[in-house]
Amino acid sequence: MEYMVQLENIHKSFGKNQILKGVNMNIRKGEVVVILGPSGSGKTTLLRTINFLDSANEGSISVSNFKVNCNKHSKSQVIELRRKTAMVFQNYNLFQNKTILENVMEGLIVVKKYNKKEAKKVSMEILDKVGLLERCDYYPSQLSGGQQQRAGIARALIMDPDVILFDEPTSALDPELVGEVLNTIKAVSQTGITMIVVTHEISFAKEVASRVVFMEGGNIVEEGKPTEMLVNPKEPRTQQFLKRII
Amino acid sequence: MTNTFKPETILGYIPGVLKALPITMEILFLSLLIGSILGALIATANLSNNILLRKMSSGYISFMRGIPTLVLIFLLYLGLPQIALNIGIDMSNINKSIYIIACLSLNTSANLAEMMRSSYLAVGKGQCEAAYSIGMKSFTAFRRIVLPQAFGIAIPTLGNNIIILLKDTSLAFAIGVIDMMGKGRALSAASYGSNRLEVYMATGIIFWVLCIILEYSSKSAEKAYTKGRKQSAS
Repeated sequence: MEYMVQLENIHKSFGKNQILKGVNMNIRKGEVVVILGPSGSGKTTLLRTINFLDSANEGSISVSNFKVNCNKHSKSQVIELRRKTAMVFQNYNLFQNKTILENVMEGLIVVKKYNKKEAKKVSMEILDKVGLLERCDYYPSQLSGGQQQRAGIARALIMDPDVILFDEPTSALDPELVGEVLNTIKAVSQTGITMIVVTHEISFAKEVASRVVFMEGGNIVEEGKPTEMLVNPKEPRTQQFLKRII
Repeated sequence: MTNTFKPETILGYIPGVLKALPITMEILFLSLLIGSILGALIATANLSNNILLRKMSSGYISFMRGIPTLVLIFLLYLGLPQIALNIGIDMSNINKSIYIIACLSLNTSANLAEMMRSSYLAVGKGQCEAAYSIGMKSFTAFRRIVLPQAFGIAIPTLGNNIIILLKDTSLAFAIGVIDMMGKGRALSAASYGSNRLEVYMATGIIFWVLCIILEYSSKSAEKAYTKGRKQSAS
């Protein structure tokens, strides 16, 4: 199989509320997929089913040829899948009891079993890349939202995941801090890593995405290259959404 | 009637009452230890997905918080041996301090369980999710991420609970354990009650000073533990 991520027939309900109604998606290695859609359309839920933060009721998920059946999975399968992915959260979710450096090192030490010295060396390199070297001994509460989110990106990147999931990474930020985070994400996308990004930043999608997916009501309505999709959408619902947001 | 109150003698009674400090401390520490273990179990049950476990722990917490400690002491000290005798168990040889420690453990476990539950919930789901997202197992995430934060949140409440527990140890005198309160009563009885005001003032002062020490320790522990982490909390 040549696909990095394969989602087959993903169904998810919260109680009686059906959020995802059989979503299929195949993503190649190195693709940057941007998911757009109105709130409640299921885009964040779709992202969260990929690493089982929400487990889907039906369907299957496969990441770099490791396939997990959603209605019949074991704990160790879920952990294995999570170790192939990493996530950047809307509210950063940095570990509040740890410094920025410790946040980034945590996964290396606990999950990848690095020794402290090695972990620190690699972490410092990555913090340098996201421009947080001077802030490495600060606690998250002492940083701005943009800095926290860049640390969140570093924490995800350092795990060397096959695919990195961005859940509205700039939605909680002050408008003037959005740019620095988008630039960081753009730099990450140029390294060739597979990315799935849920966002409302259309201009970012135009610039960075290799594919744009429009979701509504738990289904994929339309998808295509950003140059086609964002300029000449075929579906009336997509046209309406884009007109409102731009 | 002449005034027999001699304030200058109050301090003189302190060393006598303090002789029972080890007993009070023993009751305090053992109750706290057993109460914490029980409390952790109850809090875990209360947070579990099992409805039966949740209902049982809620019922336990409600009962233990609703019943006065003195009533619980009498129930256990007077009532339990009576029931035990009916099924052929003789409990008359059990040390009285054990009854007190059992009662205070039960009583404080409910408060500690509530403290643990609310501190755990205060940490927030996002912290766990972040830990899972980098591939941590759930117990590791609890131990390395959630527990240290929950502990920091719990420190002020824990200090408060220890102070309440310390004061509750004075109920031990009710069944004749010679803790500090019991010692005070004995000193007073030895002189036919002529000095009781002074003795109880001395006892009160000791408890007060102990509480001040606990309060101070709790504040400095909180400061040291949460240094730099959550500025908004202080």
